[in-house]
Amino acid sequence: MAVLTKAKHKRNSKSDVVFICVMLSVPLLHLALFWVYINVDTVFLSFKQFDMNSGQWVWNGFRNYEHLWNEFRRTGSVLPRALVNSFSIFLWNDFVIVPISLFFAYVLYKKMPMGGVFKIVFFLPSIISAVVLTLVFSFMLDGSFGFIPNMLKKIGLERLVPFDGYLGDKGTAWWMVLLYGLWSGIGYNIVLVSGAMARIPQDVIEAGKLDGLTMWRELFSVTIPMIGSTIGTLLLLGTTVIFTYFLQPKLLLGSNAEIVGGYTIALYIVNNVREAGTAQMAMGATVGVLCALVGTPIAFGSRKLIDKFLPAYEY
Amino acid sequence: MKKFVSFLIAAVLCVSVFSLTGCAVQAPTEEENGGSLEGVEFTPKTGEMYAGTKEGKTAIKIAYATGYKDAWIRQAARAFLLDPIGKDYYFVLTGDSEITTGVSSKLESGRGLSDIYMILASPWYSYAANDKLASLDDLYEMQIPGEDGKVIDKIRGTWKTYGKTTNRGEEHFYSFPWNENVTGIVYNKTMFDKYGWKVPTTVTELKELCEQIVKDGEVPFVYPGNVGGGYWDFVGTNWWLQYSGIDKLNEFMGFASPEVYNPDIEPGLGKKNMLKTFSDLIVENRTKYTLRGSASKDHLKAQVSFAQREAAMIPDGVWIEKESGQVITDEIRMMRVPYVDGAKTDANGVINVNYSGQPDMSIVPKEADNVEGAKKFLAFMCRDDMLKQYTNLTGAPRPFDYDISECKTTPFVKSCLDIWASSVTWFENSTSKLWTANKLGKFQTTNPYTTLLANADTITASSWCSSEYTAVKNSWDDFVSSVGGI
Amino acid sequence: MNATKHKIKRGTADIILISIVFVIFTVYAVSLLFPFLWCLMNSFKTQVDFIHNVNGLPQGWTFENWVNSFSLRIDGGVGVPMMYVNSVILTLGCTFLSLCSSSATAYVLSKYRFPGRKILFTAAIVIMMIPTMGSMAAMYRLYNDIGLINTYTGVLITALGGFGTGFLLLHGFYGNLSWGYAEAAQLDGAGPFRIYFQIMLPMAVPALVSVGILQGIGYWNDYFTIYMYAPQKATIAYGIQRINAEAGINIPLVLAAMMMSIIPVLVVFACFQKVIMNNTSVGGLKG
Repeated sequence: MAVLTKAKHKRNSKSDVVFICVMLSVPLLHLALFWVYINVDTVFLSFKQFDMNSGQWVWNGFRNYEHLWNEFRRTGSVLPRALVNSFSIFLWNDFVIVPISLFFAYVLYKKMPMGGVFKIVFFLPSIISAVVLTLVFSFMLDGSFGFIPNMLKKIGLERLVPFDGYLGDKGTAWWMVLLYGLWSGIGYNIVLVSGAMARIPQDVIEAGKLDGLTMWRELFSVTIPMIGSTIGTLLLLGTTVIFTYFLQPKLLLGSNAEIVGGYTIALYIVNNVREAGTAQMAMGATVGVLCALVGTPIAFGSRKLIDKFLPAYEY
Repeated sequence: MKKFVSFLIAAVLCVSVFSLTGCAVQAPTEEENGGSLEGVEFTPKTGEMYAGTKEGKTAIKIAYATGYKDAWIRQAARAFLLDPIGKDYYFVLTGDSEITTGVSSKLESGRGLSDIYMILASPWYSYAANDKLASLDDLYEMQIPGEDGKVIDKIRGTWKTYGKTTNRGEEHFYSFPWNENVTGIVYNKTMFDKYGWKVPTTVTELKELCEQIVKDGEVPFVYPGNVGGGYWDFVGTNWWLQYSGIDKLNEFMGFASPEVYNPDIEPGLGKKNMLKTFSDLIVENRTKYTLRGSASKDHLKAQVSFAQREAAMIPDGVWIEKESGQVITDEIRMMRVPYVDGAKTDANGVINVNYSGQPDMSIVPKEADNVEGAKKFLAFMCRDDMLKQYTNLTGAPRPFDYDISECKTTPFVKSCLDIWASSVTWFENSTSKLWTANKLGKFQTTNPYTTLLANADTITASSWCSSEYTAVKNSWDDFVSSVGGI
Repeated sequence: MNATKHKIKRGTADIILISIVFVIFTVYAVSLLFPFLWCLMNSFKTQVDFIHNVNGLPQGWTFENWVNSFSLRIDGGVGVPMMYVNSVILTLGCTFLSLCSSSATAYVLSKYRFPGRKILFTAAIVIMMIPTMGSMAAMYRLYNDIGLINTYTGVLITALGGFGTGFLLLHGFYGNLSWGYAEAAQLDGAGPFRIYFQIMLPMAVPALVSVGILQGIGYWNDYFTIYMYAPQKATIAYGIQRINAEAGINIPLVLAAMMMSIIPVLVVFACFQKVIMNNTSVGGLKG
């Protein structure tokens, strides 16, 4: 495949420099104002404590971090499981959802019959807000009037439904959250991957067919490498949810999340910090700083790995 | 492209048709207003209400949570404007369903503030400690317009002292009572009548009732397991109050030392006994006495199941009727939480307590434009006729001494009010910094009810209480130093 | 570079595989359609009917919920037609601005080498990973002081951030876009601005459309920004959230309200999906 080349390095001319500055000016200004300025005190907050006596924020050194560590180590603490769950989301995203979406998108790209209809239907969950979608999902699973338990009951498989319901049973609750993620997340990825696949030059494929290229070899030898950047991006996006995934567990499991093993780090922050008012903001800031510290090497490492295994071919 | 355009036209037509049908329904009905609004001008668009004119008058801006709809505030505002006390004012009324979460940002930013925020349970201690709230000391000491007594003398129950907290080392009143709730066990009277079941007064009778219900082929309880503790705390804390008495629970809320969590002495002992009672009755028999799948139900689905007669009882509060509208077609009532064996007694027999849960309240921002007007209005709402009007329009009591027997309410609300009127209402109230800074809670580790239900084989009431006590002991010094000493 | 239709020739093994996949697709599609239809069906029920008959057909079909949803008026007197207008203005505006910003940053970071490039990219990812406590109050105060509360401008400005999901996606796309196209133009004396606006950007249209649609849906469904910074410019999403919060257990009403939001998006997507999914062969470049 002689046509594919990796990106080449170039030196920047003066007009290039002007161009770079102009193009980045507004986004960087936005970043500085809406992110750095807004969040800069939260870094300092992690070293402070709100004194209920004086109503002031006072210096607290590393006490917050110590407190967090104690909370983590406490027997019966929900934080270790929360950490495991948060990482499992990333693994589920990157090693289950993205591959399945890729596969679906590829088959659609290869002109599956009724492909157009499928595309619209698969995209449906992305349009509907998570609040309503989780409502519907939980209604489908409800022990009394849920479609799925009733159907299982009708075919004599009632014992497959736990007494506490799928969302209330320790063994199944988190799996339901993951299942929900798969069920609702595929369409989004398909749209993106399809967009990338649409750009692949057909003459490359034609040439390959003359050499006896099957559909499936084409997927692994041509398609995936050529849309490598897009896949890489999706995998990278999968890492960003580790510390921010809270809405779906919260909507599906409610306050029961900790009891049934459905806690995540972000849920811990939202529950204990955002809703507890000023005094607890320091803990939130502490967790935030820790996430940044842990997240940076992850982001860096992921990027390197992705660049290595899915290099960007230009065409 | 043509298809798209025709779609667009069709869509616009549909929207217009639907919206035009709505055009006729512009003004709120009399029912939505809670009666006639004669004597005042009210513009729903802006929320403004004034008598005659608003020229030369000062505004009182009120933002309120919408759970009880709008009738009660509109009628209260109207009465104020028509009374001599309100001649210099006009109102701006804003119902906001997200207000409880949005208020902290508004307060902190100090912009776009209303004069009164009527909100549900929230970390108001922090707002006060952050110097965001106006002191309400003079409101509590104010004479109720048109009556002889002071506001504070008319308040009943925990609210007498609840509204106080510390700001910059000084204690003042910073919040004012709004609603009070009644909680207990709501039961389906139609089913009870059909099968001839008797309403139990003791826990022993409750157990017998559950057995009878199962024998008759029905399910005793449904509960919303998805919501904090499955609402079992409405039963549990009432039991704890019965076991230990109000004084001991107030001692617990003092958080003087870790010993308040010690399960071998009161008040910790009462907590352990309560959880044991819960365990013996509900946890041990959960496959018989609770509806399958309750653990995954949220409040909505639990109510749907209850409305569909899938269970005879549900732990809940006075708000259930307001929330579910006319949907529950059977007759429902609230029963007082049955007495435990060994409940505390006083001169009148077994003590009557009502656990109301964390309260709904009013707060006044320090930087509001019209703090004085706000206080006047809040005092005005404590008048007897205003209190009765409130209960008529919302079905909920307010924590004041007034005669509710004259209130026009549904049979369900009456059953709640009867319990309320003959009980002392208690809810969590503490000035300890460990509580206001969220270091300690009523249940320190996990929620005991759902934990016990989910771990029936491995965790018992005793073991849960012991591990809670250990956790508190281990973190005590850490907590105390982090709030700067107690 | 015309779209050429190819006659698909498949081997037997391929056909069997496709058939199996077709079955899987159908099952999945039904699992998605079924809840959607359930929502639609239940939106025509009365509240009482729904409570006592969650899964069955309506006992008495009613348009009450649809009428109530469409005749919603929020404080400020904003009605549904106005909410649609606000939604369209803000969605289109925010999407456009967001695409401009993200495309600019993505293009620059992927095609040009300069110091700090890698740091910016990693920073973008880290920013997305951190659950910010972010002072909502600080932003609210800032907006208030500048006078941007309850303005279109205020909301549109929030969309100018160039380092979010859109940036990552477009960065991936530009990574695949050959610099060869630019080199040809450079020989003609074109500067970087011309290259970007006249050559690269047009080639990026399919990706921009894909990303634009996804971001657009996000903006269409976002109610929180409107709630905090511009409640008087209420959008459909905000209206639905109000209905949702105040409906109690009147689920049919919530479902009918939800339709107000979904149907326009579905229509738009159905019309645009041909544009995105079209197989266009891109030739013209060798070596």
